[in-house]
Amino acid sequence: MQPYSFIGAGSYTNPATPVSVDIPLTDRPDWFFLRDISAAAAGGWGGRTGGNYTAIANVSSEWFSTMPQGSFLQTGQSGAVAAAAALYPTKGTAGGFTFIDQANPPTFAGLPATAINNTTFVVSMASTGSIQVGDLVRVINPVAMQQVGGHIFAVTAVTTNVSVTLGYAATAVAAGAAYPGPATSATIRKLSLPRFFPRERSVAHITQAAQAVVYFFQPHDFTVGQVVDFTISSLYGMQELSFLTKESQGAARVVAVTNTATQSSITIDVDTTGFTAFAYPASAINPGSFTPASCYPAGAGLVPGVSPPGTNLLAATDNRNQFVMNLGLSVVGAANSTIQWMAYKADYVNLSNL
Amino acid sequence: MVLNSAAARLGQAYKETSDVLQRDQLESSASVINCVGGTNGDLPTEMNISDVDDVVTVLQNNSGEYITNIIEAEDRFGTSPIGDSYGCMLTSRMIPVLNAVTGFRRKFEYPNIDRTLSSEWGGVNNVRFFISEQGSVTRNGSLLGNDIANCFVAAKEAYKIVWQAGGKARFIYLPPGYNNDPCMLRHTAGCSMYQGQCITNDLWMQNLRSSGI
Repeated sequence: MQPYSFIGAGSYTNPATPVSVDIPLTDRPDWFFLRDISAAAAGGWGGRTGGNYTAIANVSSEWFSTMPQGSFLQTGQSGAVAAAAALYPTKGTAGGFTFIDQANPPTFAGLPATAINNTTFVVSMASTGSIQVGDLVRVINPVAMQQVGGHIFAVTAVTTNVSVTLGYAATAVAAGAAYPGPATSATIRKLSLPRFFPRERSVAHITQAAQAVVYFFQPHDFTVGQVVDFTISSLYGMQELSFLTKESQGAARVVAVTNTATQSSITIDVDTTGFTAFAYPASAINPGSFTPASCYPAGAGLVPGVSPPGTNLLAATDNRNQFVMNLGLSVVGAANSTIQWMAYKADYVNLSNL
Repeated sequence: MVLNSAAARLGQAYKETSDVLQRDQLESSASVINCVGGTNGDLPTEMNISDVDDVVTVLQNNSGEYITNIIEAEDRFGTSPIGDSYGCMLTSRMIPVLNAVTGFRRKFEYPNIDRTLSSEWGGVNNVRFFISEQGSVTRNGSLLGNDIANCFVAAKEAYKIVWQAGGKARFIYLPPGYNNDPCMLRHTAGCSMYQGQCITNDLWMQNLRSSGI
């Protein structure tokens, strides 16, 4: 490998409200570089409207492997007439570049929460740390709401240093789930899961219907036609759905999936109208007394509506772990901008300056 | 000499990679049972003999076959028989928890160790435990934020690994002059393999989760 090998490049366009971006890589970079290459009229590096340059705080950003995770160096572009225009340097320690080996994901410190609304699942937090929309968080020791303790939730909204919203759970509530509470304190810990596909998921709610709908606290991996099974302990009710693989009718088949910004669910071909209602236990049942209800892959099944009948490989086990560079909101770029990224790898990195 | 040494280390890396891939697959998709019989006040609790019996009951109810046969009692001091058993693969961080399980027999307490593996730590009732420092751990995953050991209890034929013809380990040596090495300064050696893994019956593979590690 030569002193700096160019190991990857590409571009992306931000939406109107920029979100964190994961850039897949083939190796750990030692230098990662971003520059706003939007058309001049739309801003970007050197862009201007009329006589003035467009003011952009993060027109160019970079990170070196000797810097801490999440940090960044940055160049901003002041909005002024050409003669007075200036590029100015800044740097930060959060919201920047975070390298992630998904097979060995990093851990994050827990953050205190002062309340969790058991209907809206708005979590009040004086510090939201590096939590962003789309992140996964684990709720630890939610006092007075222990039945959701240890579960993993996806974050659907963040009000910096005020609250985060666990909107998938709120959607389950709208579908009939009830979680006795609210919690009066908890610890919220951001996490990153390995990406072996498909993954088991904790169940947020199951409806009683001719074709039951199963809700989850985070986006799921299940696909139409896939066969899934459940482990549901007696405290949750609906044990009729547990371990169906061994029953004559076999395990449940997924007939529809939903993965939106606030809803994660599957519809299964099992009539649960006569089953015991699914319900989360009370908080006082904890600690240490039950297994959470879970849904897990149990094989590939016939895809509904396909003629001749057949299956597909969408449910096949797959190792989707890879290296990614997470671009936080401080560096991901301006609204609607087009960003060029480049990654380089050093032959060696001398940390002692000798 | 150096190449032989490198090949040996790559061989170790290859097999560990194979194991890690299988571990990650079980971690992602095996059904979950929490230990609840312990006393540490967490969820899951640390493993207790009642949890071992629970998972054996689940596997028996699911028609899971034992993997190993009974090790019959013999007239030897300090030994006890081991029943027909399922196999449990778990992290070496569980050693203190295992040793504290009521009735747990270390491998040296088996009446006969002819059919044991070096990784086997011991057994109790109908489960034998095989440890590895690569065993699965979910960090900060418990109710109280402690690490959880994912202890995979398997019945016979619960999971499998498939290799494609020609896909098992290949040792690849390249002499100087390859890979951006115009001055012919560097040798490279590597290994490659590919494998697929799956749970053949979700009822026969249970992830018994324990804290206390």
